[in-house]
Amino acid sequence: MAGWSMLANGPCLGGVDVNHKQKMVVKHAVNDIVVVGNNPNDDDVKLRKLFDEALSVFHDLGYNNGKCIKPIQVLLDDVQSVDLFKLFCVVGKRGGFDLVNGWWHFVMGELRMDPKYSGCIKLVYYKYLYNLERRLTKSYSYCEQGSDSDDFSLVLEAKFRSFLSYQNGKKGKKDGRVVSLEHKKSGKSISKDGYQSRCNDDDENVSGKYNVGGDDSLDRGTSHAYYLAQKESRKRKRVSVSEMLSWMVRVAACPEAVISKSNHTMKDNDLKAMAISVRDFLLKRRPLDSNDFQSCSKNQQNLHPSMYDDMKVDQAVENSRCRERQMASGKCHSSCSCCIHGGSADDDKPKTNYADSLPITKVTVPLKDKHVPVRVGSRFQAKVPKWTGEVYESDSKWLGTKLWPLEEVDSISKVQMNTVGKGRPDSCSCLVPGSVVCVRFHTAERRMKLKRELGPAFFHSGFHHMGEEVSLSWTAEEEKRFKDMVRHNPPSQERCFWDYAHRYFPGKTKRELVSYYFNVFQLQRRSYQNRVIPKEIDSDDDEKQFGSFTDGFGYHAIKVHGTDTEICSVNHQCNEYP
Amino acid sequence: MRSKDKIAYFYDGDVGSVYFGPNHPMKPHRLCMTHHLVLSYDLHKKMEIYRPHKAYPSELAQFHSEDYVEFLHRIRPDTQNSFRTELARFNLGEDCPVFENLFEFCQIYAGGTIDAARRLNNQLCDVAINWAGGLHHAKKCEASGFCYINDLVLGILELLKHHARVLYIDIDVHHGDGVEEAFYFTDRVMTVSFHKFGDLFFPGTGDVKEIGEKEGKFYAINVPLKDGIDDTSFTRLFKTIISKVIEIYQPSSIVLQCGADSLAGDRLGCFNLSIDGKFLSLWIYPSLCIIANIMICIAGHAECVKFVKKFNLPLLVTGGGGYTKENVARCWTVETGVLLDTELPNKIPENEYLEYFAPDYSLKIPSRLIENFNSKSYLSTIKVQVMENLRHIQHAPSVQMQEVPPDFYIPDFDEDEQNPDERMDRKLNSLIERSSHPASAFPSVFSQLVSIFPPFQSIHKTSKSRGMMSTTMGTMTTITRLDHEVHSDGIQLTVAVSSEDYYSLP
Repeated sequence: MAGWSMLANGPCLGGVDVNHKQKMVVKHAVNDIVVVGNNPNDDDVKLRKLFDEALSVFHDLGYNNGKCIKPIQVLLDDVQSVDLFKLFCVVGKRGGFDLVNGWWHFVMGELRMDPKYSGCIKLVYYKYLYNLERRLTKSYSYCEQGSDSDDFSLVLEAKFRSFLSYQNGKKGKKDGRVVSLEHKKSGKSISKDGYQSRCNDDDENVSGKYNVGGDDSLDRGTSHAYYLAQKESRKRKRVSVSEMLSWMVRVAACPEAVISKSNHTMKDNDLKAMAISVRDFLLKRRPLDSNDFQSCSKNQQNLHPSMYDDMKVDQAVENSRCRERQMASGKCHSSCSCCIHGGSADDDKPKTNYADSLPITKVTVPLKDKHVPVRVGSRFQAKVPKWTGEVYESDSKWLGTKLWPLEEVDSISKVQMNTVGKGRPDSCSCLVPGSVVCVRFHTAERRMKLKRELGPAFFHSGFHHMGEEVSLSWTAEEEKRFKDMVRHNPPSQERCFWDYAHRYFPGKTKRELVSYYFNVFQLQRRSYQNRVIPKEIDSDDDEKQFGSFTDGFGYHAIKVHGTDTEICSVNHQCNEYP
Repeated sequence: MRSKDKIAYFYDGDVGSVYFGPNHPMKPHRLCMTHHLVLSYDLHKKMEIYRPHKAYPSELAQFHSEDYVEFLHRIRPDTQNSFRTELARFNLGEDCPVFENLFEFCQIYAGGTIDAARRLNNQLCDVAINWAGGLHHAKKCEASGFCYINDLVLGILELLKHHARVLYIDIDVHHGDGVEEAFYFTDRVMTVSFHKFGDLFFPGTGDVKEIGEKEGKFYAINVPLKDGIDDTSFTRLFKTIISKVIEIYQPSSIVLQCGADSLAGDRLGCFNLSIDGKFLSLWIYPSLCIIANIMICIAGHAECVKFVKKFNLPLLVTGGGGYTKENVARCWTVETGVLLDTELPNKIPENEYLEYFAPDYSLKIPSRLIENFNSKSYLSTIKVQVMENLRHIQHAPSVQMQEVPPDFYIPDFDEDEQNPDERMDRKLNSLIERSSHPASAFPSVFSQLVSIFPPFQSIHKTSKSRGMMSTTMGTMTTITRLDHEVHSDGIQLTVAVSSEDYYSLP
């Protein structure tokens, strides 16, 4: 919930993608603070100059204190000149040379040049610009990355400046700083502005204001919806998003108690109106969301037995209540009136036109009974050639690499065919059958057997990267840190440990972490849960914490793996207690 | 029966280490678990395992638009903020997040399905399995519902190089909209999807009224269902529709998408989660906000696979949805067993992931009691409507239908229990009965005959060509009479054709 309340007060507005025009609107809005390129052409020229400067500095071509910079001229076929700046921008936008490689015809398309030159262009880029690009990325110390860096030209400008300032040895060159400052400021002020506009009645302005959002779409969506909710209920008391959410959870848990409560407080109505408009908004953007509500209430109540008598299932009692809500929400939205139970049960065709009510929505929403048409056109259908009866010889080259059966062990595998499809034996001779140690031991046994059988195929299928054995490449210290990491970033505090993973483990790749998480961490937690709280398990509920991570299933226990100590200890114990 | 089928199974160890992001229900790690379970049952001894090649961008562009593939290729989690418009255009972000190794992940699963199709094309196997594939929502120019690249479409396009007609069957709980959309205009692919429909359930398409357009009209079949369908009614409906479809459409190969989210107790189907704070995460992924209470147990799910396999057509089996890891692994292991004609014991053998299968450590999962919203009358209305649409095909057979008569026969539901002679007799009788209807096409009857009497394989070729010739010359080829006499050295068949040509078989 913390995140949500933050969201209510914080600067994370934003909602829908904005086009350039809208962005300009915002920039004007903050003109009083900093003047940033009002005219895109100015920007372009400025950037171009910077680029030329940077390039000539880079190539060490007679740079005379910035007095005269000659742009480098590159000619194709002695006729067509290449706009290096444009090329640099296009490639940069696409993520740089390495990513563009193999897709040069797209670059050519954007440059409006003949694709036949793509080879030359690639060469040109490699010769003149590739090193610059790499250098820029390296020396680029712009820390405002992430949420605000969607304006490519701004970033590029900052890059050039920081590069140049570095080159000139003038520490903290004024320009360089100004840019980042500018950027920061504009970002902040926009959000501030947007925030204030919540209380504005100026409808026209609204759409332009939601473009800063660097946070994920949920935030954007909800805060936008929140804004609407605020607008609708602005005569009422303000309610916070977190309040609304907890109210919703309450309703979900026990709908009857809340809804049929005769004494609707003002607060309840507010919460409800807000919840509905939030939901409404989400529904509009994405077709499915309304289901939470329907489904939720469906699940929470015992369904009327007459429901499956005939086809009118939909109109049965509980469902109609769902629909009532939906209807009510529609009404609420269009008329901004309060949301009482509006629709009646026999009204089964909601006529609310969601598409009209909000100009920003992109998705037309399928309502119940109104099905989404299949889209047709060349952007949707596959090209299927006519059947001629002739068989095209397809590439037999790519049929996959055979991992199994191995040619030489064919005879062996035939002998062992009788083991196919055997289940787990009913009993074992372990001291405590079913214990963690027992399971681990048999698993290791199986593993060895599989390894022997599969031979090289064992490694080709990546088996050595599976199971608890993954932990062997981790030190005890690292394992402990992983547990700490999960424990200290519980989802209940709206935190996700994955966001911090790289801080805890700078040396490990994401792949290693994911592998450890699924193969060791979750498995160990699960084996703990299986034995301690078998009734509450939900292994898919990743983030849920159960009990404590006892050390009993920690590192030392895995040490048993693959060794014979277990057998010995079992026998030993048997002898001790006859 | 035919000799033992050759099964090719595709798996790449890298596919399991992909992570969609915290709280995202799609966990490719389920593929690791499935693979482990399959191997712990020693099923690998009955099949061949292949590591697929990573599909090249140009292969992906066989269906997808080039700009989309190119974008997928270059987008990275750390650079995605600079590509807002593109992300929105290609529908990446919410359901379909950009994660590390995204493109490689797509290449692997798409490569698997493409390789599988190629192996089938080259007759190197009879059944090909790629549990990593089956991402049926992906569209030509955009991602959708956890799917980025539509490997099924790519696989079907590959199959179409060798096969005149391909049947696509989808038992995922969600509508197979990507595949349907891709082949909406063609009669060379028939798509049949069984799914939950209504209540704004994702993706919102898949009404029974969607039947295809232009040449593809009547070649898209949708069987919309409501919550809570049970094993018995589902399999009954499935068998009725699929056997009719195969009888009429006569595909020469089948692609089966076995999404395991139609299973009872799937994570997406469990809304109880939402009450204790999971609300938020549910909202991040819109497709999650759904109840998928289609209550098919593994037995019912696997029954469908078994049924499709009995047609003995080249079969490409893929995975699909499925968001409760353990159940997905269970389901696909059972189905691998079904495809290998191996019954698996209930107790799960020891394997690395055994702890996930607690508390019973067994293959079967208890079914929950839930109301079935599919009344008998509803199901029969759907069935009638589907059959009505199929009738259009029957009455207007395209020329194409006669060009390549496929080898197939219609299996009986319970043929295993009967002795072979009896079975043959019964089949023959039913064939003769059917042949008295003018509607049945000549070559199909022939090929059915051949599959009933394997020794006639050599004759089959010549008579098939003659049968075909008469078709192309425009002669009526309805069979007017079909007799059989049992001799000491075999069975004599006499087939009378309306053009008064007699084909006699020893």
